[in-house]
Amino acid sequence: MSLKSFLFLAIFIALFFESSLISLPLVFILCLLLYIIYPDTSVVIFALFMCMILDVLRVGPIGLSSLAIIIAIGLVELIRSSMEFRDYKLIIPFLFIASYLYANLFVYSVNFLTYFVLFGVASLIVYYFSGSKLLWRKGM
Amino acid sequence: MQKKYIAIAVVFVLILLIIFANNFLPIKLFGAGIQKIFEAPRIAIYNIKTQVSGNDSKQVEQLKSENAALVKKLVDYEKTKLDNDALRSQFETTQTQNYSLLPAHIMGFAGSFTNPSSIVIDKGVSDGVKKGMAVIFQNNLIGIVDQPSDFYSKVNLSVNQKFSVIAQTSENNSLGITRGQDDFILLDRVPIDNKLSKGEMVLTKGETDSQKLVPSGLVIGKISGISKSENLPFQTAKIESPVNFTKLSTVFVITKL
Repeated sequence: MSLKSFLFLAIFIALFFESSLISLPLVFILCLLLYIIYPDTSVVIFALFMCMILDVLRVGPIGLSSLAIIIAIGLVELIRSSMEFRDYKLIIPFLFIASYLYANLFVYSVNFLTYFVLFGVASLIVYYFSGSKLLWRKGM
Repeated sequence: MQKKYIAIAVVFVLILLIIFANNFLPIKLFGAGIQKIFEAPRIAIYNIKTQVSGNDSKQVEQLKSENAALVKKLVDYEKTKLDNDALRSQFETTQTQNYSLLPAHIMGFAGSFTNPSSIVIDKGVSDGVKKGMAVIFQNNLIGIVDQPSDFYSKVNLSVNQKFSVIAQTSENNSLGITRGQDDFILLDRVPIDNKLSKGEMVLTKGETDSQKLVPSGLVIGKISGISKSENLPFQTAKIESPVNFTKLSTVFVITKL
């Protein structure tokens, strides 16, 4: 299974858990991560659709999470064009800040320590398993 | 690159249009369909918290599958027992016997895991739920319905910052407004000359207008601390709810008084 398919599946599973058990913005984080690694139109459409389903399940205004994800995607594009960075180490701080802001706005658990530990562990896993492979595809 | 920004801007505008068109039929149908599809798996995920996994011999695997089936049965039994207990205790509560109560299962929550600020229940507009209806457990006010959709509703718990009801203390009849403060409930706007005492129960005063349907006499909580300054016209009190929101699985919506 490719990383892209794995992330698609993970987002779909996260949708169930986020709407019933876990108070962390997993769908937002995974959708953003998916776009950072694979900035395709299909990914954007999938992310927008998943966010809309999430809004329905969390009984919020339909489209609000999609709005947040499209703003985050716009920011990613802006940073990508202005800073020319491709190092995965810079993805983690961006995801951390974006998801923490999103969690505050959309009433998720906002324990800073939880996020710090979560992203610390995630970055260690990414570092250990991917090395330099997890870079943005060249020519974006 | 310029094209990408234009595309993002167009999508942004389209999403804004969708948000403003939330009440239009196609979007409502989309929401209702999704809610129906996801209802069963969500309840299952909310109820089953453990999984059995691993590679073992055939006999052990068989025993494990039998065990898993028994665990599932046990979970179903415990769920039914909890529902029965909740229903029995609710209908034995004499104070709420005269209200029309709608039992609802909790399907999800918002806020932190240990201290949720709102919950999602499996009853919506199609079941007669409206915005402003009180949600109770026994004779305790749990929260107020905030956003009812076709099949689900979002309920703001009494600790939610959006929650506010007119309240009255049980012993001294001091009037005030209770507001959620994330970690606790605050009794505010109590005139300085009114008496408040620690351990006193805080009850609902009753609000039955077009915005809210909250009967009087429901327990909001118990006063655990009082803050008073002679320079200010009002005093405040910290209230603790007697209900542990994380342990609830069934609640009741008051649909009619």
